[in-house]
Formats: sequence, structure tokens, C-alpha cells
Amino acid sequence: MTAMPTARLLDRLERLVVRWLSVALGLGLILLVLVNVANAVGRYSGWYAMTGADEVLVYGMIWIVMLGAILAARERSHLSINLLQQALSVRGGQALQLLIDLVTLFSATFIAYHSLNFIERIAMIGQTSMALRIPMVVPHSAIFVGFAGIAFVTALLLLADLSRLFSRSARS
Amino acid sequence: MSAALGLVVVTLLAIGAPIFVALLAAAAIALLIFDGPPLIALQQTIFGGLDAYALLSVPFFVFAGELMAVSGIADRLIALVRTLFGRVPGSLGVAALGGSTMIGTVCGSSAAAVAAVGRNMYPQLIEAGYGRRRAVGLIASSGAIDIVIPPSIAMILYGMAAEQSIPRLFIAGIIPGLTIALLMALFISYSAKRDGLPSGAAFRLAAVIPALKSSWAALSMPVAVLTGIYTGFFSPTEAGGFAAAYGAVIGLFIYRTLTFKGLVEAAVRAAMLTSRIMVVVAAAGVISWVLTVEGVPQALIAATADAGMSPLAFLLSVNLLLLAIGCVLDPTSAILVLAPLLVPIAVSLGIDPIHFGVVMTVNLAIGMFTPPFGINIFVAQSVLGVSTGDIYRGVLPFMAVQIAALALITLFPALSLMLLNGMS
Amino acid sequence: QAETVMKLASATINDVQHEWQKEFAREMEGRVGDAVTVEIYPASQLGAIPRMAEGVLLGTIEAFTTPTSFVTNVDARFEAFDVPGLFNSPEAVDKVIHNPDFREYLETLFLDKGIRVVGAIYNSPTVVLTTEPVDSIAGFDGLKIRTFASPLQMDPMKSIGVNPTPLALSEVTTQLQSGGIDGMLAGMPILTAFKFYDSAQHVTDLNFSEIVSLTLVNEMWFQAQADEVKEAIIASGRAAEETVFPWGVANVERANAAWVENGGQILKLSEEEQAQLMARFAEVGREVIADNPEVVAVYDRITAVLGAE
Ligand code: NA
Ligand code: NA
Repeated sequence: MTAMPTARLLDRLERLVVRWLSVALGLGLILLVLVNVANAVGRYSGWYAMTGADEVLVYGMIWIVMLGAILAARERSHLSINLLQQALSVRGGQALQLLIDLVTLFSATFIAYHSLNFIERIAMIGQTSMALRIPMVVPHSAIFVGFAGIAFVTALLLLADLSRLFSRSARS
Repeated sequence: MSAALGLVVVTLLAIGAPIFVALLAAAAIALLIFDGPPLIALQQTIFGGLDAYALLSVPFFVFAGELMAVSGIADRLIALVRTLFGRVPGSLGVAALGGSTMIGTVCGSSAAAVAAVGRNMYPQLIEAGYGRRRAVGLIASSGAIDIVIPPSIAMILYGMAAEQSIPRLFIAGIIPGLTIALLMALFISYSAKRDGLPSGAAFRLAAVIPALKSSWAALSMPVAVLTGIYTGFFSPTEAGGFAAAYGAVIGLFIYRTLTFKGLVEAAVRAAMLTSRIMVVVAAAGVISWVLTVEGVPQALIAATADAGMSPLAFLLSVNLLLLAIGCVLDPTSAILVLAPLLVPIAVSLGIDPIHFGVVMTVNLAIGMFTPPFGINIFVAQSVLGVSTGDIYRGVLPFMAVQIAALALITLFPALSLMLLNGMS
Repeated sequence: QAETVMKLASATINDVQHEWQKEFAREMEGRVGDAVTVEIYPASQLGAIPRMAEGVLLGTIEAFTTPTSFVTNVDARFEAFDVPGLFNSPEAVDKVIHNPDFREYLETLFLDKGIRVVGAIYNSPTVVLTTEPVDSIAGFDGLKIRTFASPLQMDPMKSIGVNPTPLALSEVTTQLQSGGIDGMLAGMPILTAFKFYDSAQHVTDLNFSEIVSLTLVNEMWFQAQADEVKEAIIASGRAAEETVFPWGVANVERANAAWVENGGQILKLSEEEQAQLMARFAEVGREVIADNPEVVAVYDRITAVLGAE
């Protein structure tokens, strides 16, 4: 009986995290637009030079892309070819989805693992960006966070699907 | 090697795995099986695929397109076009094409154009009875014009990789880009008439004044963006950010159709779409990198060079090669890898490297919407919610039209070079 | 024994860096035959400059040939080569990089970062490309000139009234054409290779620094090689740059000629102004590096070699 409220709480927590993360991405994009405009105005007028604006813009975009990729994995809205899925029966479609989730889980974990490896080494070397001298660990970490996040949410989706599948076959 | 890699990609794509997963899984398997660079290189190439200033035009123009839709700018522009040209068969389809071409003059990214035009024109095309397939095919294929008409990310990269003048490439792209647009317009108009699509109201001067009145602020947006680029106020990449800012200002303060909450919502949708597009771009970069270090493109080209071809045979086989490559690689990585290898052969055969750059660009532009793989297809699917099958069937007639345009552009170098020759 | 692959990467093609790599490959073949396969990837085929730098640091690429100014974020000591007024002729560069003591020092200078220098080449002088002709210091006042986001380029430019404007390379052409910027700092071979004469015709040869290119090798990979391969790499690198030095000098002349042939113009300051500019740039340059003793140490080593007759 205590399981239900916990599940509901987790559910609400998840929705909250997703909501805040989405809004953060939107605000991030608006911020990039403002930096872009300010940078061009400064350069054109000659009033000021925003040295390193290009780094803020590109690294900001990379973080938005990778965090957004986690949300897209959770929504299962990544770009794909959905021909076969539509041709299959409901049951077949579910089986296929399990397979896709497994491949996604493995690939994302694999990338995240090697990404972490890279980031540890780049941190050791202490490489910085050219203009702002930001430690390169900061932008590079976006790739690790993105793929680790994709692996994590895919694992959750996979577990949810499996438990649904088992409870249904137990019932029938 | 490349066959095994291709098989993994195609299988995973066919079962409907996310495209970035299909590409990365194949790259990872290739790196694991074949003795190559250490696996940490994966991180480096994924990051490298995203770490490019010119790619900022993707989030910016996607956001601008989103804002044009929610603020009613797009509606008013379309209404104006219908008031002016309503009677012309296929006027709305031609307006969508015109929208793509117009965005093409300010934007160098096809994916962003498909998203922006699709978001704005697709519902109206459906409403006007175009049908899902025709509407989606039209939008996905029109986006290709964007990288042929200057500015163009593909041409900037070709210029850098092949040591050719970027301004000359830009100028050389104008007539070929317009040629594609013209053939497309003729086809859209012809097929609309053939299939008896309803046309709009007849032209009435009395209707024009109110349409202009309600759309002047919307009209000022492309004008402002173009003026900004050509006076050097901002670069073509930065133009996307200005377009978004301009759209937001019109929506918030002039039309008052947009609230701050709506602005943030639009930004969230744009960020999400950008994310879906860019992970594919990054993953495609990894595949091209794996192919490059395994020497695949180099070997392909050596085979082409050995065949001892005539210039025309060479151009035709390059066309076939590039159309095929367009199925798996994104144009940016394909150009970086192939241009330095192909251009010396082309030059040795007496082919003008600028003309060759245009031919390459048009090829890869078409590759972006030819099944099975192409970023325009995936963006259209995601933005418009149309099934892949419908898109595949929808793009076919437009593919034929653009391949015809490609044939003209390949056979008549003058189309690319006459503006340049006229200048000097 | 499995054959070893040595990937050499660079951002450019058909220039002195590329030429050095081809020479190096030939020298290696003569020394160790097919024990090492040298593969050349010009024109950023293995990624943009920062990726190639990371690649050689982490060993995903065995070697990377680059102007020193592109790797100052890897180690600030690379800045020493870019201080204005340090080198004022190809011969001065030649004298330093081929001085036996300095050479030993340079090859092992960055070992603590995990990279070894196996090649050092004279690249080209730094010039200013402008849309309008400039032949006096006053003419630069208020111009927006694209530079790297590095104080060693920005501060000297500021000292003559220029508005230094860092900008992504992909945006330079369109901004030059539309008047968003008035010019850029670059080496002449780059300007002709990318046919910049279609965007702006005037070059002022300020001759305030010479671009030096180095080939960096991943040290861990290097140490994993057999002794004769290590020796071959060091010897091939040195031999290649001997061959390539005159090629590089001639290449700058070829680039200058190509520039003029294509309607471009190369201007100089008056002798008096040139001397004035050099003095000012050298002073500003030394100020920029002054608070970094490691860079000053390398700079002093170079000036000591230059001063010795
Ligand atoms: Na364009
Ligand atoms: Na394709």
C-alpha cells in the first residue's frame, strides 16, 4: 500500500524535472539569441567587442542540444523512420520497441562510458578554450551528460514497458 | 568494412531506431571490430560535429520559424500572396516554394527552412486540398534550394576544403538555385491544374490594400533580415538570431499575438527540434570520420580516377556517387571529405572548380530529401507528424524535377558561370 | 609485427605544412620502409583545429602540424613564437629553429603536456588584408580588423587604433564583402589559397611577425615505438624541414605574385613608420607576455639565439 504514494510522488517529481528542464532549454535559447544580437550590435557599431561570444553561443548550443536529446529520448520523439512500426501489429510493435530501446541503451551507455574516459583525460591536461579560457571539460561534459541521460531514461522506459508486458501476460 | 557498416545502419534505420542511434551504433561496432583509433575519439568527433559556429543558424532559424507561426506573421504573408496570386493554379504551393526560396536568401541551412516553412505552410496546404503527400513532398524538397542559393553552409565548406573563392561560389549558386525554383514552380502549378486543385479568389485591387495594411510588419521581417546581411550589420549565421528577435518583437508589441509565456513555449519547441536535428548531424559526422580514417572515400575516388573517363562521364558518375552518398552522410561532412579528393580530378579533366562546387552542392541538396535517409525527410516527419512512407512517396515527383534541374546544371556550366563571367 | 599507422593532420592543404608532411612521409619510407604507414589528412579532414589539438594530446591522432598561435590554449609557451617584433625574416626563424641546442630544447619543451615537437617550419609573415588601401599607421585608425581572440594579436592592433574584431572563420568572407569588417590578419599563402582577392584587394605587409608551424606528436604513442622508429621520426622531421624551408620561402613569393596577378595590391608602410610600428608592437607584445614567466623564458631563449653571431 505504501508503494502507490511513492510511485505517484516519483511520477510528479519526474514531471516537474521535465517541465523545469524544458523551460530552462527555452530560456537558454532566448539567451543565445540575445547574446547573438548584442555581439553583432557591438561589432557593427564598434562600441564594444564581445570577445568569446562565439564560444558562449556554440557551447550553449551544444548543452541545449544534449539536454534536449535526453527529453526527446524520454518522449521517444527522436528522428526515425517509422515505416515498419506502422506496418506491425500492436504486439509486434511493442516487441520492436523493446529491441530499439535495448540498442539505444547499449549505444548510449557505450558512448557515455568512452566520453567520460575522454573527459577525465582532458581534465587532467587542463585544456582551456581559446578566447574565454573556459576549461574544455565544461563544454565536453555536455556529451557525457546527454548520453548518460539518454541511457538512463531509456532504461526507465524499458523497465516500465517490460513490467507492463509481464503484468499483462500474468493477467491473461 | 563500409558494406558491414552500411548494413548495420540500414537495418537499424529500417526497424525504426532513432537515426542517431543507428549511426552511432554502426560507428561504435566499426571501431570495435577494426583496428583503428582509440574509442575516446568518439567523444571528440561527436563534439566536433556540433562545435561549429555556422551551425547556430539551425537553432536560430528554427526558432524564427516557430515565432513566425505563433505570432501570425506567416499567416499574414500567406494571405497577401493569396490575394495577389490566388487565381494562379497551385498558388499556395508556389507560395510555399517561394517561402523556402526567400528563407534560402537569408539562411544557409535546409533543415531550418523545412522546419520554418513546414510549420507555417503545411496546415494551409492541407486545408487547400493539397493532400498529405503532395504537401509534405513539396516542403521537404523545397528546403533543398536553401543550400544552393547563397548564403550556403555547404558552399562555405566546399570553398574551404577545395580552396575556392566563397563569394564566387555564392554568385555561381544564384542562377542554378533559381533554375531549381523555377522548374519546381512550373511543376507545382502544372500538377495543381492537372489534378484540379481549387484555386483561390480572383485578383481584386480593393482586397490588396487591406492585405498590405495587415501584413506590412510581417513583410518588413525578411526585408530587415536581408538588409542586415547585405549591409554587414550581421553575418548570415547571426541573421537567424535577428530573425528570431524581430519576430518576437512583432508578435509581442505590434500584433500583440504573442505573450511572454508563448515566447518561452515557442523557444522550448525550437530547442527540442534543434536538439533532434543536431544529434543526427553529430552522429553523421562520426560516420564520415570513421569512413575517412578507414580510407573509404579515398579508395572510391581512386577507382573513379583510374577509370580514365571523359569530363562528362566523370560528372555523371560523380552525380551518381554523390546522390548515393547523400543517402547516408549529411552534406557538410560529405563535402569536407570528398571535395579535396574530387576537385583535383575535376580540374585535371578541365572542369571549372566553381561549376563543380555548384554541381556537388545541388547533388547533396537533393540527397537531403531522397529516401531513405535525409535530414529534410526527418525534420518534415518530426515537425509535421507525417509518416515516413507518405514522405517517401510525396518527395518522388519533386526528386524527378530536381534531378532534371541537376542535369541542366551539370550539362550547362554557363548556368553557374555566366554571372561570374558577366562581372569580370 | 603489426604495421603502425601514423596519421598526420593539418587544417590547410597544398601549403608549406602539407609539403612538410609529404616530405616527412618520404623520409620515413626511406628510413623504415613500410614498418610505419604515414597517412596525411590535410584540410581539416580529421576535424576542426581544436579537435586536432585534442586529438594529438590524447593520442587519437598521432601528429598535428599547426601554426603555434592555434595551440596557445594547450600550452601558453607556444605564444613565445608569436610575439611581434621577435622574428622579422625567414632567415631569423631558420636560425633559431635549426640551432642545434635550441632544437633539442624545443623538441622536448612540451613533454610535460604529453607532446613532442618533431618538425618546425617557417610558414609566412603576418599581413593585414583590407577592403580599402592602407599605407600609413594613421590609415588603420578605427578599422575593424578580424584577429584571433588572443591578446598577442588584439593588443598590438589596438595600439595603432584598430578595432580588433574576433570572428568565426566561416563568417569572415561574407562580413568582408558586406562591410561588416574592414579587414583581417592572416598569412599571404592563406589569403591566396582561399582566393580572398575576390572579397578585398589590398594587403599591407606590416612584417611584424613570422608564423612558425610546428608538428606535434603524441609522446605516449612515440614512446611505444621501436627505437629505430623513434630515431627515424626525429631524423625524418629534421630532414623534411631542411628540404621544405626554401620551398616555404618560395611559396610566400608565389603567393605574393598570385595576389598581384589576381588584381590584388601589396602595400608597405614608409621605412620610418615601419620602424615606429615595430618598436611599438614589440613593446606591446612583451607587455602581453610579461606576467607569464614560462613564456618569457622561452622568448628569452629565442632572443639569445637571435642575438648570438
Ligand atoms: Na541559402
Ligand atoms: Na538522401
